[in-house]
Amino acid sequence: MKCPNCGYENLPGADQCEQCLSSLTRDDVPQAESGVERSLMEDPVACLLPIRPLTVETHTSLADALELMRNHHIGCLLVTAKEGSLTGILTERDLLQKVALEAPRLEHCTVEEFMSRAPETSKPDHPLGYAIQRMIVSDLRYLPLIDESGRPNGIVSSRDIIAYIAKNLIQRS
Amino acid sequence: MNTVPEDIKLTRKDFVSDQDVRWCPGCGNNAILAQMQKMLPELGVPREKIVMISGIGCSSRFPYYMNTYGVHAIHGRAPTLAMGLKCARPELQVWVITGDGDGLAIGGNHFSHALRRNVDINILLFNNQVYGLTKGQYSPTSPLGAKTQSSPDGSIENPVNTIGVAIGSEASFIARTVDVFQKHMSGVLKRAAEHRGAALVEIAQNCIIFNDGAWAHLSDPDKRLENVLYLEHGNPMRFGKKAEKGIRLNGFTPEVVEVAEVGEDKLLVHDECASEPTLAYFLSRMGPPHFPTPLGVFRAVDKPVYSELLMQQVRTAQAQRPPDLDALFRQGETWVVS
Amino acid sequence: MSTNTKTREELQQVTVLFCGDSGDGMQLSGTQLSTTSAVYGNDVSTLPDYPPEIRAPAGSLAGVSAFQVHFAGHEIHTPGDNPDVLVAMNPASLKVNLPRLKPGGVVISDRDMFSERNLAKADYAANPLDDPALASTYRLHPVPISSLTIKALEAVDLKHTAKRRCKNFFALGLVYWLYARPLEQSLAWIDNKFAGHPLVAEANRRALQAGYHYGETSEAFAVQWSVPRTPVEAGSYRMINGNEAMALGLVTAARLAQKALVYSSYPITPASEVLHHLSRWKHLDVRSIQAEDEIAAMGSIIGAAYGGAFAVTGTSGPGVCLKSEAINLAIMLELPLVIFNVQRGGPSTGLPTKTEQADLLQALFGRNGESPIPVLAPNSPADCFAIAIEAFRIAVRHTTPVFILSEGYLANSSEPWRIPSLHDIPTIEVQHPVEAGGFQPYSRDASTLARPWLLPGTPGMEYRMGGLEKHPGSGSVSYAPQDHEAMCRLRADKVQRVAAFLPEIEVNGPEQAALLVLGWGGSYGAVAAAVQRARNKGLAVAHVHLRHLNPFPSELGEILSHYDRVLIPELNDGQLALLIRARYLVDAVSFSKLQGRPFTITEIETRIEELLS
Repeated sequence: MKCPNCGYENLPGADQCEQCLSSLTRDDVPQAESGVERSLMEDPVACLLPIRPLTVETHTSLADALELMRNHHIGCLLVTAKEGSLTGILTERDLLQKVALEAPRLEHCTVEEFMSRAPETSKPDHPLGYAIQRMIVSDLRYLPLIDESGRPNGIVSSRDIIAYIAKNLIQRS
Repeated sequence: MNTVPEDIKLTRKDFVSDQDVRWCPGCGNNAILAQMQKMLPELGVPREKIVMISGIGCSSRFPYYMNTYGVHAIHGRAPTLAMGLKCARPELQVWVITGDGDGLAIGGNHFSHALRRNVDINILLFNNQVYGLTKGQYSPTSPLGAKTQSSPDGSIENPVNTIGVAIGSEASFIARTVDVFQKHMSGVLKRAAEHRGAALVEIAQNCIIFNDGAWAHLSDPDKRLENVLYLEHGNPMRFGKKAEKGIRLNGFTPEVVEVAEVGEDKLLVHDECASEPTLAYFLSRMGPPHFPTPLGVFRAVDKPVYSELLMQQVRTAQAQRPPDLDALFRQGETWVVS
Repeated sequence: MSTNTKTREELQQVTVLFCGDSGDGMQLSGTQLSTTSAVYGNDVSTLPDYPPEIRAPAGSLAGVSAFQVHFAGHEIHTPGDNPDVLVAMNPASLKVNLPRLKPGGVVISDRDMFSERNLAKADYAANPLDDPALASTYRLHPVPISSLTIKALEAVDLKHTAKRRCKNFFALGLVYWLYARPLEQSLAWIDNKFAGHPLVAEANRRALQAGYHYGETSEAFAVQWSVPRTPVEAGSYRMINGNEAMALGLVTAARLAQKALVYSSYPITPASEVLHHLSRWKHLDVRSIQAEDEIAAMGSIIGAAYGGAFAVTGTSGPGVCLKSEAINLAIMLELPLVIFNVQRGGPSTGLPTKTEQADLLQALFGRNGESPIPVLAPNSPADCFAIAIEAFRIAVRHTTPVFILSEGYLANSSEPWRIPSLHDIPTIEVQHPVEAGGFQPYSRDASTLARPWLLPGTPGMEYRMGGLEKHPGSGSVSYAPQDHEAMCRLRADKVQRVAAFLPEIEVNGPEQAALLVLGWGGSYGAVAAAVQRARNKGLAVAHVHLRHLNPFPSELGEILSHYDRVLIPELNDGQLALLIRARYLVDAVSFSKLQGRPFTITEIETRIEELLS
């Protein structure tokens, strides 16, 4: 690549310019052109201030789960296995696509039967852009965050991301 | 081959070494050796400029029986020595003698790269569809189900097609011949020698001890005409006792037809020089039970040659920059202490 | 703003560690400091520390790049155990490198880069520059380098991003003031490199001068240090690292014999740079091949040597594993060629960017059968030049492949090199037989046992040879028991006879004493300095550093017997120690370190003291 300092045409991938020894390592990777881009590329998911997720265990009845969701005004519940690791997620979409169709007796079935298993997850230090890509590719509105042992320690939603971007746009314009 | 023929009168005897030939009586290698010793004098290349490099295997005993310069190297690696030798001495005529195991199993990698680079060498691959020297294991060209020492219940491996590998490796000269077809082999070997670039010749070779008859459908004089398609550049593809059969392309599928029925003008015409190897690839797939086996030169095209390109870069560099080592030492920041 | 409140002190040596994000230009600052110091008259030794990732996120811990410069008023041989000064351009580089700083050491950091975001990337919960604990252990100097650089370039018509790029020169200028380095060398360099871009040249010049001026005027820096010059042999010098020196040595050897150099290799860390260098020197008849794998690299140089070229391949540990069968073929064919291994942490993929010395036994014994081969090891970056030439001399005179054991540490470390003149180096005599008359391919030279280097293309002398065992003399294939034994002994004897041509061992210190420290390879600098320190304390200890590991110099046994104890420090689990014990029946003490890092002088000094107490 062309050295931004002395103009010498270096071979692709050179770490430093052959002619003037300037470092090239930040010049041949995608650069953020604006504050919003930089934010998306560098800010960690933790910046969204993810809330502590509500979790239930697999054997919880659907009736109890629905009541929890209504009372807390939340669109999803995280489902954990006995030892605490994330095993599934129950969202409004599951309720619409699966529960409403089957119309089961809510007290008699468990969340395990209707949850989405092995959900996509992210980590608090992943860049925002990565979390967004995950949500787009898998068509998700909620992204649980987990720690090293697979326990959920946060949850972010597409709404959180929209709010963060809007805040940054407004700030910078 | 870019060696200029000189006014030298060599004979077969000049190429016979003092070593006793130790191949089994009836081994196809004997025929190949005889033909090489007959053909080489006709090339007009001084004997000292010819080098035979082999790997390991019965085929690789070859250099010992030729009175030329020769190296009996290690299993599968002959093409690498050949490449290095051509870079040091581009003017030598270098032959690589290998087999189906040496060249396509352990040596498959180097085989492919030597052809891809178009190093100006001649690779003779003696294909007997078995490992002879180590006493009878199956090889990469052995058919599925072959019962051998290491596959008593039948080989579970799909074989590979030598010509197909060569085409995939972008070889610029590809040919096949049979060990007992003396005249045919001689013609093919000569063309390989004269080709500028990497030349691959697959020689269907009979191992009389461990795989006798593997090529009988070709070598048997009674069956020959029915089972062999002699390739000749510019000629329609015909075979059969009275050349009554031919090959026609039906869409993307070659088929065997009666010439009388369809007319000779509908037959595939062989073109060695086609820029794409598609035709060569069709030919490489042909064989029993439904097709004859093509013999002769499948492909012969001109491509840039590795050692020529290398030396061109060296000469260009030499023209642009004086060979000043002291200047090279002083490249970069220097300072003087007095 | 008065400069007369500054005091001047003298130091015998300083180690400065420039570190920052890989885009911060610390490599450039480091090389400028080392060249300036060398030109000024100090002895210099440097060691870069590249990030392990090709491109890590900006400001991350994985993207930290560093360059250590050690300069002194006397002869030095290592880039310094621990730095005295840390120039940290961002939090991540401070995080990574602070543990190495000497207590009481100086930290100059770019305060502007210690933002919340960057602190988070470096896993800092709070700003370390505000940490009182740190402030009491080290001398912290947070300097607004980025903003001062921008300010200094106010009048220059360049974009912000371009101006920010000059902050490495600001930092350099500050360090120049701190150690009373003249600016001329760097100013001239800037003028030269950016001759076509006067704005950039102007910006870099101003940044450098602004940094210097900052040191001059800031009250934070009350002391300026000077490091005296050291006498050095007159001549022309340049900085050189081991890989550059190896490449130059190889092409020089070929020129000394008026031969083409054929270099074939496969890219592998840390040896790839040699391939890059040699592929650019075609004008000297260097023919470089990038082979499809390590085995092809070795096979092709066997072919090239067979054809009469000076042939060489370079690799690291895993590549040697792959080449072993082919190396044995070269030994059986008795062809002159060179193999060099730039050793790195093993086994298997190991630590590609870390240094080690653990391939010695592999070089000697890592092949089937009895396969003797001469083994040489350079002891400093510049020594790689001399060892390459020596390797070819041995290869040709004794018609044998020759093994060189270099190291990742030597490959990347730089030191000043007194530039030789080609006509001062003795040529390499090569003879190829051309007359048949009773010629036998495996006949022997009476004194060296070398066989003739007969080239294909020579009329009337056609012969065949291969990897099978042979009959001595004729070289024809032979399985006879006596022939095998004779040839094995002969190949072994041939390598042993190299010892007759080796220079005498240099003993540094008393010829008889309580302790001898015996080293090889890149530990030379640390061992030499440690032994010197011990002797300065009155301890009776000497130092021998082997450049020839096979055969050993003939007087080695005799020399070992003059010392009560022998200490062998190596970056392996005691490989030379094993050889010395077995060969000389000497109860050598092994000092083994396996951390992917060179020895520090202190480590060896401590061990010496322990042994002598």
